[in-house]
Amino acid sequence: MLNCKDATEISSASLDSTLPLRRRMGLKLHLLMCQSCERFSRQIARLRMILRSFPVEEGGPLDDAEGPCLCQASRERMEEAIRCEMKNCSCRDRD
Amino acid sequence: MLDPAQWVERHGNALYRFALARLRDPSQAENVVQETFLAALKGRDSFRGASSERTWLIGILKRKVIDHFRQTGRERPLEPREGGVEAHETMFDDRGHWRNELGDWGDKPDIAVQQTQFWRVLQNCLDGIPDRQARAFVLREMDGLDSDELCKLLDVTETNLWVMLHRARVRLRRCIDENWFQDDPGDRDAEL
Repeated sequence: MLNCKDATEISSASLDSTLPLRRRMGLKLHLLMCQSCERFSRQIARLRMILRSFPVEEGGPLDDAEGPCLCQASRERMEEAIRCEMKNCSCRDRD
Repeated sequence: MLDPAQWVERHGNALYRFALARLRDPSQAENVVQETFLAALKGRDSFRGASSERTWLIGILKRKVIDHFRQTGRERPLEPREGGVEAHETMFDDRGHWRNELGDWGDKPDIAVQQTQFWRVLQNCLDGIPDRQARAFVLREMDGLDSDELCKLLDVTETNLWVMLHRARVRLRRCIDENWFQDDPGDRDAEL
């Protein structure tokens, strides 16, 4: 008989590979009887769904004013590299 | 229309954050962002305008992040094993049963996805877990890389990967539970 620790491990593994029938049945049986494990199983799957829909568009969480930022020097270096590349000049000449 | 002269201004921080969440190293993240901009410039003729400039750049960045792991995966020294007792060990009693029952997350639609506040909570939760776990977790759960690919990329065995992912899921689930789902909704509404 599976305990909850086993059941959470199997729930997690089921998100990464197809488990043998016996393991799946064992898990299913446990989840029928155990509300916490059933929640765990649903919640990690839901977390994946949420994470895969992460919005990258402008104005979204990637533009959060509180997030980590590139320092001014790095920004300038990148801008310079882009300018160079657009003019097709060799930045290495000046290094 | 692409406007490379504005890229750093408009997308620099966003790309940096995206890279940092995966590489967990500021200077490596910065390098990958710069490489992305330069690769985007070279390939700008391939931009068809089907997606936004941002989405297009993120697509290039994703490939650069994977390239980075391919190149450095085998050279990167292993981080020391984290000390202390892991969440997946303390949650259960000696017989392997939950010490505390899990709360319900309700059936609310995932409107949270649109809320910057939710992603802030998630980022804080990710910052709290060890780098190796977080890296594996983000590449698997956010970017959808499959297990075989991820094992090669991170140079770990399947069992190692599986343990890292499970531990990360346990921690993340609990952290999101405590700081988002079970958090007083009144407080949250006030902030939004």
